[in-house]
Amino acid sequence: MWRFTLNTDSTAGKVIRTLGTILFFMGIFIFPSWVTLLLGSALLFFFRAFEIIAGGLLSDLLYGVPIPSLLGITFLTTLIFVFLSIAVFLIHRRLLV
Amino acid sequence: MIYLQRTSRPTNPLTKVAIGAATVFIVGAILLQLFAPSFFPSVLHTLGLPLWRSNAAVGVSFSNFFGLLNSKRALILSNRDLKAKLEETQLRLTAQIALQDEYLKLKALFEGEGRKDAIIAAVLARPNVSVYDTLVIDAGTSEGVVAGDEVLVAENIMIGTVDHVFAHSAVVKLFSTPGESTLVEIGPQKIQTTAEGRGGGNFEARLPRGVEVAEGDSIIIPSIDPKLFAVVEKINVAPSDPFQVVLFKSPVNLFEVEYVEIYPKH
Repeated sequence: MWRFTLNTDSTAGKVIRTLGTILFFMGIFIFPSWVTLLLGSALLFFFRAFEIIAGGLLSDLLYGVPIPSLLGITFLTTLIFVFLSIAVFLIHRRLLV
Repeated sequence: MIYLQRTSRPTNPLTKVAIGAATVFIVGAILLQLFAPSFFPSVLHTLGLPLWRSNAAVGVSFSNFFGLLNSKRALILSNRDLKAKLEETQLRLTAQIALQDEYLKLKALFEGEGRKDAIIAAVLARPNVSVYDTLVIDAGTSEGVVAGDEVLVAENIMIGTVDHVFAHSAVVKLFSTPGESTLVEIGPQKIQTTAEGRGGGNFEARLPRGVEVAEGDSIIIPSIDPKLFAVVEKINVAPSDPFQVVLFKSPVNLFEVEYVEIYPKH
């Protein structure tokens, strides 16, 4: 059975994480939001890259406007990534990985 | 039970300095954002402009990037150009039909007077780049843009208002932002109602069942100079509901719009 394994402490793992993070931050400017959200989620899950919360903040500062249907919040992307981070933290604890 | 013993090793002084510096930085950033909310967005827009401009200059958005990689590249480009031309023509035609009467009346009143105060701006980022229903345009305070200015496409189709303005860029809040309410008039009877944004250029309005609305009816923003807002796409009537839900859509595809016109707020 095929199993995905990624040693995040290896040099290759570090290179992937660095490139992924650069791509994520560039993606905030040019990629569709779903690509950025997926990339951010992958970085969080595989590398626990909590710096993506800063990316959410960057997105909110660039594009954010109050959304009336969400009580006028202007930090929606940051909130999404904070909740994703908490979810990933809890999943990792539950899976003991 | 065996418990993990606390280490007796002293903490590295460099770690303490780093934690202290990070704390000061974060607290400073929060205070700066609270007292000068436009500082960080302004800096970030300045940094982002070259990226957005290069992306716009390439003329290929990343959403359709993979479509261009295949062997039918020329065909796709040609098809896109033709579609854009057709769409623009349809938009102009729809706007003209909807506003013909008003135009004739206004022409009689203001013969020879036209609004020549428009600022043309290129769209740098469209709603699909963020989770918000916003556009980033390449005109700012230097070009005379002010927060609250009206944003139009094809001269007569109003899509939103300017929300934040920076030196050479601005963020446009679209009327279709979820929950955003706009006063509009529906159909030839000009029934006044409130349109609620549903994202991506889509809107919803609730009207009593007796009110006659048909698919294809134009929706305008009432003013001395009425602007086309949307076109009725679908009407949902549930047997148990005394209201009908009118779904309408902006005639402009906000995910492909390239240029906008900015007019000073009335």
